[in-house]
Amino acid sequence: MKVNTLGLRSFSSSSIVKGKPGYSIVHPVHHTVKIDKKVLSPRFPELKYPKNDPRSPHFKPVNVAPDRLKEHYLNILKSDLMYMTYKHDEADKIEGAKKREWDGTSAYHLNRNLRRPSGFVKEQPDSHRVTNKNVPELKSIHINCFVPLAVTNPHHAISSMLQVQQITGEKPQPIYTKSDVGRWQIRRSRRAGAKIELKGKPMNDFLLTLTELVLPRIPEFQGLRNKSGDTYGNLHFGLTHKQVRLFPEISSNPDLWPRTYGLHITFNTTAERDTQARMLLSGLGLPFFGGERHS
Amino acid sequence: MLRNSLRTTNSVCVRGFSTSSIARLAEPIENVKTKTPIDSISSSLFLSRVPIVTPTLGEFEKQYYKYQDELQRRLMWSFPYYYYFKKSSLAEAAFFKNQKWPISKEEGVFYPKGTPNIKHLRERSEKQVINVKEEEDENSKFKKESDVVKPIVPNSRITDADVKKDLKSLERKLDSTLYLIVQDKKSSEWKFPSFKYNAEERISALDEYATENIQNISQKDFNMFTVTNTPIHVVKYDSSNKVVNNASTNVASKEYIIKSHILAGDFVLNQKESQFKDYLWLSGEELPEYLSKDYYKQVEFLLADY
Amino acid sequence: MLTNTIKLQSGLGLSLSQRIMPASASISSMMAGTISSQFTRGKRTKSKSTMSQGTQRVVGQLSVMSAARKQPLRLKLTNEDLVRHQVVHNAWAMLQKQKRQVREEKLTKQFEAMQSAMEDLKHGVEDGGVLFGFGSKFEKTKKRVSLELRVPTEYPPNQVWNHKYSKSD
Repeated sequence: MKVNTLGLRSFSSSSIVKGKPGYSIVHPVHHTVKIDKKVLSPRFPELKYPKNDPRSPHFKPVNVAPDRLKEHYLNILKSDLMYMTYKHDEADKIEGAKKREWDGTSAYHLNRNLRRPSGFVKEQPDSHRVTNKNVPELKSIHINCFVPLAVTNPHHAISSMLQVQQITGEKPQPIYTKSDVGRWQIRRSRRAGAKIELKGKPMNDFLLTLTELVLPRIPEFQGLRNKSGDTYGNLHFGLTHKQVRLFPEISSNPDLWPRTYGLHITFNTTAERDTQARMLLSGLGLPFFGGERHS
Repeated sequence: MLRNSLRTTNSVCVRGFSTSSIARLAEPIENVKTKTPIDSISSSLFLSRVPIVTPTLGEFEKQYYKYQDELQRRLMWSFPYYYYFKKSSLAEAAFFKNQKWPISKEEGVFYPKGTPNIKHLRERSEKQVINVKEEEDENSKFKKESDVVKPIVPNSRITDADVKKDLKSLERKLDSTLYLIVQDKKSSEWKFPSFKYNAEERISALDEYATENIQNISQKDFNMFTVTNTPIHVVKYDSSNKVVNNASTNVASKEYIIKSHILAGDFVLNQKESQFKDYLWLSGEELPEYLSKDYYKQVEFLLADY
Repeated sequence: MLTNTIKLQSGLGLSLSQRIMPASASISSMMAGTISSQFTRGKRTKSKSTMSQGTQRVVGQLSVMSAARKQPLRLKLTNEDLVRHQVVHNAWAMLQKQKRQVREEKLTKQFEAMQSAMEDLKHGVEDGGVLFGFGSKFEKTKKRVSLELRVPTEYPPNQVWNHKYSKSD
């Protein structure tokens, strides 16, 4: 154990001195450098190409047809939204509620954690005024199809997955249950539905199908609730299993779909406030209803 | 104490958002001292009809999309026909009848284009072509019935108004944005419609004033969507009614521009009751022919891309 | 046409198999057909008809999603084709970049123009700040883009423009 004097790294050297078992205060250094073995290995050269290279096995053409929603957004909506969100003499940045200092009246304030922000439990992000640089834009659409029935009957997990695949044209990911709830007959880590994040052209295609074919055919549909939203510019609504039947991919083959599954749809936007996100989505063809509060 | 000092330095280090815009605002504004009287102010309406059809593609774009589409078809998974058509059903037979089968592999035969590699009735080295159109059968009993169902023929992107070159129609140039311009009775100049304020009347908002006045001079009703109550631009004129391009010239009158889109109905000018004698719906490309050079230069950046 | 090709192919196949297939092969295939207990790789042990209809449907659904037997062969481009592809790709990227720059420049100008128009309205009009008051009024809620502002389609609708609009409706 005298090797230590040479300056070599060793574990639990203090325990020897004290004559009792201890723990090393020297953090291990191995495995901290991440090595991309794909790059080092000579075995599969084609895996090293970027995904947009036709030699790569992941190659998938992207711009297969003009995207009319994107073109409409860039041509008309973007500048309109910039005009609509403009407020003269607005500050460039409005700071969100942050954690506060203690006033120091007590000696115990010294090492105490900071006070929670006033009016909130968590710190709030800053919001910025909309300029030509940050006009609200639709980033992605998340579709979540949770089927609790699938826990007891795994067939539903497969059917719901195919349903999401058919209406979006993209490959979904499975959802797994996270907890055991006896009352709802839910057990942990069972497949229970499908989810997908749509971006780019598939996202715009899905949105156009929704606004032009599906939603107009729902008689009781009033629009998205003006109260929906997570206050940070992401809106949310749901379709029941009956409404899902109106998607053309399903309504054209009703025999194949004796059972359909409801969806939760989240619109993820770059807007920092819900009011701006609603403005954007109204421009993309989604109606709204009900009372609105500003955030 | 230490924490306090750290916090303050931190807040100083935070980078400000778009500081350049603040600098822009802090610049001295021209003609602040000389205020323009209200009867030299007018509210101008930038009224547009948004495109109804997608933009016409250029030759390169067309070919690029075709190429990408072919690549996608080549790399697509085979069509799972067995899922859509039940085995030995009529629908399956009709589907099979429409398909052109790939050449299958036979032993002892030389294939100059490579040995066939077929899975799920698809040649794996090529794109899969699925024919969905039913072939017409001369002897079919249901021929008359199928005549009733008309095939879907898309409407033409070129309308009658395009053929007749009717510059006053809202149905022309469906693939580009149209803008309303009017010709003044006195000066015979083409401009966006603008309405001067009257010093004796109650001052109303710029957007309300413009939208009310434009409806008043139209014979027909029309619906429009005013984007915002904020003016999007100001065009300044000197005493001889020429467009002011530089800050040093004295400003005699101003036009604040309000943006709006027409949604339904028609604008038909009532010549007797207005200061305008003619109107046109023009695309952005046609505007320079009618607008004066200085005026066009002022408003060019307001126009949409197409 | 279709029936003709099938006939032709099957005729060819028959004659070939008759000519090429050795006697032993035909015997072994016959034996495989008769002796059911013999193990053959990939042969279905459970017949599909014993599955319930629901299970059959789910099996079908699973096969739609799986890549098995559906993937095409990989692209094999010659060097010349690859260079051609890259040239096309770069040309497209350049075109998009140009368009994007023009759009961004225009949007910047629009923003600055609105800002300076409002400053002008604030300081350069002799109206006691009435017009500026109206112009800077900002409603936080219920600001919407009109739903009638439709997304352009590839071909026009049957009724290109609604001419029959009246205010009273």
